[in-house]
Amino acid sequence: MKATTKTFKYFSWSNIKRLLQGDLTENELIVVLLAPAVLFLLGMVVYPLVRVIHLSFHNVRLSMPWLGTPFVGVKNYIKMFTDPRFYHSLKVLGLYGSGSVFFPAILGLGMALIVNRTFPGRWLARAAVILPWAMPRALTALAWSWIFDTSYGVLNGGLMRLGIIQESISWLGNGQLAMFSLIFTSTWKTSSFVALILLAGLQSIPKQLYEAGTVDGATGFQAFRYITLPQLKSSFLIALIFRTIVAIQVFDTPYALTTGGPGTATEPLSLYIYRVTLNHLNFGYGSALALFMITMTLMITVFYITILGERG
Amino acid sequence: MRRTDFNSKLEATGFYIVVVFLLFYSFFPALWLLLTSLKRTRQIIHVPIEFLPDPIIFSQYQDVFSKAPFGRFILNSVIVSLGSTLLCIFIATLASYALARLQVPGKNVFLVSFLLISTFPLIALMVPLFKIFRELSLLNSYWTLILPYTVFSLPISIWILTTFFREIPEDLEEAARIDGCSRVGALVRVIFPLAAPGVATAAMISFVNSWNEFTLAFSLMSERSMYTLPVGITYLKDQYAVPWGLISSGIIIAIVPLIILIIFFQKKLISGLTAGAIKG
Repeated sequence: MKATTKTFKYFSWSNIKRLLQGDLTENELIVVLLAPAVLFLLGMVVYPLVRVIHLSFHNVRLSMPWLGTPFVGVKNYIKMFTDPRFYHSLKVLGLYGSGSVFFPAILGLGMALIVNRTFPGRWLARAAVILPWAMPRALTALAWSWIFDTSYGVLNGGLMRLGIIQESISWLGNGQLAMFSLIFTSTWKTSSFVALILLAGLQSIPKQLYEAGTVDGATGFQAFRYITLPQLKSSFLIALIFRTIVAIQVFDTPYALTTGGPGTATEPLSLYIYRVTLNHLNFGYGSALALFMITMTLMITVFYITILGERG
Repeated sequence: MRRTDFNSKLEATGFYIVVVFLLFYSFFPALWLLLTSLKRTRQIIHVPIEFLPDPIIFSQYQDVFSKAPFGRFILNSVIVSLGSTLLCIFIATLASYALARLQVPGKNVFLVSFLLISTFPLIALMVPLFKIFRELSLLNSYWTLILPYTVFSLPISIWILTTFFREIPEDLEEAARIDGCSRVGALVRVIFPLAAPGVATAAMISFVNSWNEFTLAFSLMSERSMYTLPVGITYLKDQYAVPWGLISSGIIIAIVPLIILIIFFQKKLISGLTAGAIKG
């Protein structure tokens, strides 16, 4: 009863007038300012999350609406853990994921070291570092699938012109080569991200460290080994964790490059989720797979937050 | 003396060779698309390969509009990207101000949940979002993409803007209030204009995110008239004889706004991108 009167008073005319004049107390201001963000989070992340958990315990097949959506317990999960194609997609993910974290890390470091130096034309080199980041992943993969094209691609065409190969190579038609091409494309696209993070890290290294190094007679390589690398450790870790998270979920690169082919040779979990959900219209099983991916991402993110916490 | 001269020259040459290699590596796909888009189809599929267009033609750029609803794809991409960017920046500005300046209870809960969202797999959220938008009969409407894009650009925008708000001196706000501004008045007239550079950075990054997004646009839009650029162009490939000339000219058109951003706002983009990861 007391609460009702309080609410009533809060919505009294004089109070509303005060609010409309923009004269808010701190707490009111906090609510007004944060409400839109919170509502969006609830609607677009929390609610879908609840729905995907719910769906994963039901049999939901949009292609067979007459079945209804019966509760099936953990059947979808049992199916998942006995599904060879699921394990295969994890294997593909493992291979593709480790490749597209490892190579961008190396290349990204190289790029960051280059554009961290001052030299004429640096802006062009910087543009070269940002361009792959700014390109849409799907269109990047499409561009590379044109370059890798067996009959008319510039890679085969160029190699033949140079006399290195006599017959065209099927870069995307052979399982192992397709995996190589996928990792290559992904590396091209994502090295930039690592480079930008490491560049910020490089620029935050105090200049005095290098001056002290020079006084002590350190060579360029020694300065790199004993000053740059240790100072870059935390930026490197952040870049690697972010790369891992993105590599786990990426859908557009494999879809636009190989569509998972040949067969299922380059079909990571993301593509399998798409197949199950939108091609087979099996939303129950798709949800179980989706939750597996969400859990995997969540675990890495929690690991990431713990590390950030330790750094303060 | 001469020897060190020689050494440093050698080092400089080596360095420039590496730089040239980097430029070639990064610009090659775009360059090759540009060359392809200027060739006649007969030349595109010529064996052995011909590297340079001869003659240079521009008809691929006309054809991409006449043989596919390419104008519509551009319009869709513009609406979805601008819509989600505006909405995201509006929401993020409000939230960041609160997080930077006010005593928000459980502030860390907010920051951590934003971090969690930024890492959420879109392909996994596609499953429930498809169901939800289907129930709401919102599939194939612009909201289907504007709403999730808004949320997924929120975390980085909030990080960028929070940093910006923290750097604006608090005295300014107090001065405005003494001069008779209400709390909200001070925000709108004094604080937001000062945060404009941060807003611009956040807006660019969220625009690029939305402009480039493929996973949801591809899964949630089934009508051709609702495709965004990445989806519309990708579907051109699903033909018996892949029209690489059209695809190339399409991609070139789609990345023009991105290249403009890179040329004119390089520093802003870099600072914004790294703010999210380093200061988060």
